Formats: sequence, structure tokens, C-alpha cells
Amino acid sequence: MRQASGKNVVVARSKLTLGPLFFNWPTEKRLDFYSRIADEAEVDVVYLGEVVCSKREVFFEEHLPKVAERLRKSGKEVVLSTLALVTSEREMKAISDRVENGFLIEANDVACLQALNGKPHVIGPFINVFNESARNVFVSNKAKRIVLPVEVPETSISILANTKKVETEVLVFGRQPLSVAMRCYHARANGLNKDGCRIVCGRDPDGLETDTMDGQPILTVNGTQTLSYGYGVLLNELHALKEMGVSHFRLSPQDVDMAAVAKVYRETLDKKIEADEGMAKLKKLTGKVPYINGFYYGREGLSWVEQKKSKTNNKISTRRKK
Amino acid sequence: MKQSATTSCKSDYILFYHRVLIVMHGNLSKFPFTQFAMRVLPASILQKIVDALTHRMRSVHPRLFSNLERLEGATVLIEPCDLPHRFILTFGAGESSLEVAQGDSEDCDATIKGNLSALLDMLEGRIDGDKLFFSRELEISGDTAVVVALRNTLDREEICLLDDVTSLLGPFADPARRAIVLADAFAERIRAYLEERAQKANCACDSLREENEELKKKLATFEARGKRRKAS
Amino acid sequence: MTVSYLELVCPAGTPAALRAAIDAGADTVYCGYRNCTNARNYPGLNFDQDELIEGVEYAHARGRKVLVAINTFPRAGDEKPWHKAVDEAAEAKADAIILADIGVLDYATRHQPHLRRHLSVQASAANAMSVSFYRDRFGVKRVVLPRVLSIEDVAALIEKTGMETEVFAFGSVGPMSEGRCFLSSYMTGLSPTSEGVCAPASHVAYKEEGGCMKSCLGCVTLNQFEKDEPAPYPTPCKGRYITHGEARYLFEEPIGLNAIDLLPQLKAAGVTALKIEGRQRSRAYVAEVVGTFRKALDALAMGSSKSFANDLKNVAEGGRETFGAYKKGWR
Repeated sequence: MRQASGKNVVVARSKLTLGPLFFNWPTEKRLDFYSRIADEAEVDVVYLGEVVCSKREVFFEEHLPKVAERLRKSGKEVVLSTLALVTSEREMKAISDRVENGFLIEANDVACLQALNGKPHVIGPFINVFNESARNVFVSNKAKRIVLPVEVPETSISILANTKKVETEVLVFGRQPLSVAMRCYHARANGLNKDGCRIVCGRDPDGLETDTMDGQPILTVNGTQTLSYGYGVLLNELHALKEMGVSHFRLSPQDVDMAAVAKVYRETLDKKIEADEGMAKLKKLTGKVPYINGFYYGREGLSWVEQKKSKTNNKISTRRKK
Repeated sequence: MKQSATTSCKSDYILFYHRVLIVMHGNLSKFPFTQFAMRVLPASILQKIVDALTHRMRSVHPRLFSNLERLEGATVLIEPCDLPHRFILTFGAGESSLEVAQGDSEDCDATIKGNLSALLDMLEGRIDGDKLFFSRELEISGDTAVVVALRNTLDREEICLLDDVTSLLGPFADPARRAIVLADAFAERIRAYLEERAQKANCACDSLREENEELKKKLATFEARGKRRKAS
Repeated sequence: MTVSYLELVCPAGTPAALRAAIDAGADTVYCGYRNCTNARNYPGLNFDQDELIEGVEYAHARGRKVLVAINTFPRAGDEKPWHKAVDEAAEAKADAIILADIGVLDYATRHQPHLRRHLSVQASAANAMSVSFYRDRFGVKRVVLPRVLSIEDVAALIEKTGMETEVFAFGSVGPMSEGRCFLSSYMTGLSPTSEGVCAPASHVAYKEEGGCMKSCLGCVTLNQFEKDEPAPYPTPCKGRYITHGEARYLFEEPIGLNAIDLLPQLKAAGVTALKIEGRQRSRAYVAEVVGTFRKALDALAMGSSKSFANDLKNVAEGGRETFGAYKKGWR
């Protein structure tokens, strides 16, 4: 049956990673952001590249090699992320080109695996890996790391991460990606459609708040992508995840001081500060946006399960309307 | 015991039963006399009819009942808007029963409200439950999952209530079925006949009235003549 | 059976619906087992092994086919039900299985190599490269294409891969990339990908508030509408949300997909089969939709160009219809 922990797994120093930027920031803002990450952020791996919409790619594409070089020079591993939903000829070609240019690739659509043809790579969170058999197929296909989908609960992570054959990465900070689509909801929200979108997604650096009819903030729209409204936060769970065999901890860029966020996570991982203290520090960095962690506990993704000292008494709160 | 009461009144039930069936099969609003009958019919007698019907359905559709019993235990209040009675359907966790609801406060998991014809159409798989849902012909409250489970389970069987009910009569099923279908048509014909007669009667009245007027006029003429004669 | 204009693949949520679909002219029906191994795991729906065996016999006796959908993603440590479903579908002599999870595909390829494998829409293979991967790696023979592609995209994919394709012709619009949508579990805690239930009825509630109806999923209000306004089934992607202070159907309107007037274009694009969605709908719906599509396909085979679009309006979601992603303006 299920093994509670990966005690046999020798875990090296836990790696902190910076996921691909989901939002459509202006080029200047991106350049500033990544130079600050290169100089100050205590992250070991940085994922670059557009995941949401190929129409945005053109704006940053030319700067990508320079930014990657800068990050590498400051000792960070650079991984090139790819689109989560690939449909056009042009997008397929872009993927094939990326695979050829020597970077480690994060595959977010199975199309990528066909292009990689057995080259080592990372399986991104947009490819479903929910069970051991699927994981093993990806491993045999030369995946060196698997980023689990946000929906995977603790009970499954403990099984999937319990292996020496592949590294396991889990998203521990940031809005949780819930769906990808062909349709652009950002355009729809502005009375436009995808083909004539005027890149309106660029107006919302942290995504577009989406409320229910009775005024409860519930989702975040980011172009063709839909994310949670709350920030997914698994700071309290870091040590448990480490125990299970998770090797990489992903911070997904939001429009907050990400270098400072990384510091909080690094210190908590290294047990320099307690999780409680980490939570207090994090709260100061993230403003009014609530935290969620329901998926981890196999509950409504939008809920927050309070971590108590006694494990039997986890307090569950599901956010209700204001 | 219930049993003896059932036997002694059996013929009455069957008689009533036929009327209910005609109503169920035809359009209820055409048969105000049966609605009236159901309104005055005591719940205890209706219950016996319901029992006989479910007993019969159980032997015709054993799979329907085993499927119902496989579900999670639940109770559903069924409220036909155009009938004075409500029913409680209990199913799941190894049992299934249909009872006439007594009293107001029924503690059910869900309620289905709608015209009897919509409810029966759903039972017989003629109408899509989803469609009813978005067109709002059926009003569903309480635990929606219970209703979905029930609808899906009913939809697994080809149910024809007319067949099931008439088959209650054993060897007389076929004649009865024919009789009911005939009765349905026959009732329509009687109504048409009566209407025709009434119209005819009206016509007859009119001509009698005319005749009467004519006679009155004639009488008045005679009277006048008589007066004139007396005077002269 | 004569070769059809396009193969008509129809839903069978129950044994009665299977018979109804076949009697109404389906070339093929698809169904699932009564558990979490398929993406329509609703209470009271689906088949047990005896029912499936009977269903396959009924279909085969009439020269039709049965596909078994085993198209959810097993949870870690609990893959047995999916493996059992694959083995039992083979034993029931199903004509093919429809799979989504790479682990289940791998199992089927190794343990039931002779059982034909189709790729479910839940695998979200929306391009020629993905489709080729599944073909090369698992010998997949047919792919059910996601409802996010235009007819031009479909034609290009077929040309590139030479694969048999099955496309949605009638049912929901499904704006999200299926199999990768966590909106329902975000609101209910139950996952369409693992448990096979999107917007489970157990979490759906209708409430009346101040003369208005409110539909809720879990503790989330998905919609508010007037009492007589047609209300879609409350899935997260058919909800009404507020952005910039204005409420709208942000993802998709309450509207049904109906491609019945696009059949010649789909045929020209090289599509093999048409899929009618709706295992959760009644056998009355199945008979009506299948019958109408049968008529349309037969008319096309005879060279007629009669439109059948209006025949199905009253069974479409919200009573309205669209071509969905098949036409580019939809995006």
C-alpha cells in the first residue's frame, strides 16, 4: 500500500525554482524583473518562455538569449518552458526550434515530447501525471524532472515523489493554473475576440480579477488561461513535501517582490525560520490576496486548510462571500 | 389485516384504477371527474393502489428495483402540481418503496415538482431530464444528486406504465390494455357525442321556443277574435 | 451495413440508451463502466460487465460497434480499477477502448495489444505532433479531437498525421482544453480528471433569493437569473462572472454545439467519425439526436443539401446552438 514518506530517498539540498511568468508584462518590466532575480533571488532554477499565448511570444523572444545568459552567469539553471496548448502549424514549428537550441526544455504539451524524441527534459504542470504508471512512462521517455499538476493531492505526491529515478517539483507559491483554452477570456472581458485582442492582457500584470455574481473574487483571467484568485501557498507543508521526496519547489511569478518571497521560502526550507514566521513575513509581501491550499489536502482547491501543531485538528475554512 | 381489506375492496380498486389509468394515459385536464375522485379518495386507499402498482413493477422490471436499491439511501418527495396527493419515494441502501405522503412536513432529501404529465414522461423516458432541467418544467429542490441518480436509474429501463399497470390483471392484461386504449378513445367519443346531443337539444329547444311563440301569437289572435266577436 | 457518409458515434449512458441509439441508426455507440474509470461517472449511470456484454451482443448482432471509454486519470496508488476495466472491455469483445491517461495507455498496449485504442478528448491532443506521439508510442488508431479546433485546424492535422479522427458534432461547447481543467475540483474538491465528474450534482444547488434564482456549485455562486430565464446546468465554465464591474458569460454562453450543417465540410476535411455527446442525457435525447443525424447523413449520402439544424434546437443546451470553435470567430 501507500508509503507515507520517501525515507530511503537521498535528498540533496532542496532546490527553489522560479516558474515561467504567466502574465504579459511589458518588456522593460520583464528585463528588470529577471535582472533582479539574477542578482538577488535565492532560486536555483529559472524557467523562461511563454506558456499561455503564442501571440505574446514575439515581444520578448529577442531578449530571451541575453536574459538566459545573465541568469546562467549568476549560477542558475535555465529551463525553457513551452506553450500549454499547441494548435497551429506556427506553434509546432516554434516548439521544434526551441528543442533544437540546446536549452533544457519544459514540455507543457505532449507535442513537445514528439519533438524532443528522447532528449532529457522536464515535464511541466500542464501535462497530466497523476499516477506511477504515467510517471514511469515519462521517465522511460527521458524526463529528468516532473512538475506535478496543481490538482495532485498530498496522498498522491507522497507516492509519486518516492522515487530516485526522477526529480519531483511542486508549485508552492502563486496563483494556481486551473485551465487553458483556445478562447481568450481577457479579450472577451474587454468585448473583443482572440484574433483582434489588442493584447489587452498586458493591462493586468497580476491577471484580471473575476468575481461571482454576488461579488466574491473567485478566479483570475490571464488571456486564454484561468487561474485561482487566491495565491496557492504551501509554505507550512514544505518540510512534509521534502520528506516525501520532493526535490524542487516552484514559485510562480506574481506582481509582488519575488526575490523577497524566495528568501522567505529559502529560509523556511533551510529551517532558519519556523513556518509560522515565514507565513507572517509572506503576508507582508502579498497584500490583500488570500491564500489557498485545498488541492493539497484533497479538498476544494479554493479552500485554505489551517496547519495546526496537532495534526488531527486541521481547521478547514472555505472562503465565503464578503 | 390489510390483506383482507384489499381483497374485499379489490373490484372497487380495479374500477378506480382504470379511471386513474385513463387519466394517466390521456390528458388529465380532460377528465375532471377523476381529479375529483382523487381529491376525495382517502390516502389509505390510494396507498393500496400504489402498492399494487409497485408490486407489479417490481416483477416486470426487477433490474430497475435492484438498480434503485444499489444507490445510496435517499427519499424524494414527488409533488404532481395537478394532483392533490404527494408521494414519497424511498430508494437505495437495499430498499425501495413508494408511499402516499401524509401530513405537511416531510423530511425528504429532495423534492421534484411538476405537472403529472411531465413527471410521467420523465418516468417513461420520453422527455430528457436535462432538458426539463433547463426549460424548468420540473422544479427540483434539495439534494440535486439524489434526483440525478433517480432519473438516470429510471432511464436505464424501457418503462411503459400502461403495459405495467394492465399486466397487473394477469391473463386479462391484453383485453384490459385494449379496453383502456379503447376507453381512452371511447371517453373522447362519449364526450363528443354528448356535446353533439347537447347542441341538438339546444336546437330542439330553439325550435320549440319558436313553436311556442308561434302558438302564443296564434292564441292571442284567437283571443282577440273572440273578444271582438263578443263585442259585436 | 453499408459504408456511411461519416461514422455516427453515439452516447449510451445506460443499456436502454444503447439500444435506443442503435435502433435510431448509430453506427457505433460508446459507453463506460459504472465507476470512476470514465469521465461521466454520475450516479445511476453506466454499465456493469454483464450489461456491457449484452450491449455488445445487441450491437454486433446488428452490425454496429461498441467503444468503451476508460478516459479518466487514475490516482496514484489506485490504478487497479482502470486495468480491470481495460481487461474486461477486451473480455466483453468491445470494438475499441477510449483512453486518456498515459499510464493506462501503456497498460493497454502491453496487456491487451489487440484491443483497438482510441485517444480520448480528455488527453487534449490538439495538434499533429501530440497525435503522432500517441500513435507512435501506443499504436493509437483514432483520436477524438478537442473542441477547440477550427475546421482548417482539423484538416491540417488529418493531412499531417493520416490518423482516423472523431470530432464532436453535437453537445456541449467545452471551451477549456479538456482533461486539463481543474475548475470543477477548485470549487467542489471532486476532480473530473480522476473521479470523472464535472460539477457533481451533489454540489449543485438552486436557491431562490429575492425573486431571483441562484445556481451554486459548492459555495460558489455560478449564476443568477430570472425565474423564467433558461438556466444552463451549473458547470464552472457556463457560469456568469463579473469582470470590470460587469456580469457576463465570460467563458461560454448557455448554448449547445451543433455541427449538423457542417457535415460536408467535416467530410471534406477528412474526418472519419462524428461524435454525439451526452451519456448523461436521456435515451429520449439520444433517440432524437441520433435519428436526426442519421437522416442528415443519409440525405448527404444521397446528394441532398437539406438543412437539419432547426430539428434539434429544442434539445440543445439553453435552446440555442453554435458551430463553436469550428468557425474561427468563436475564439
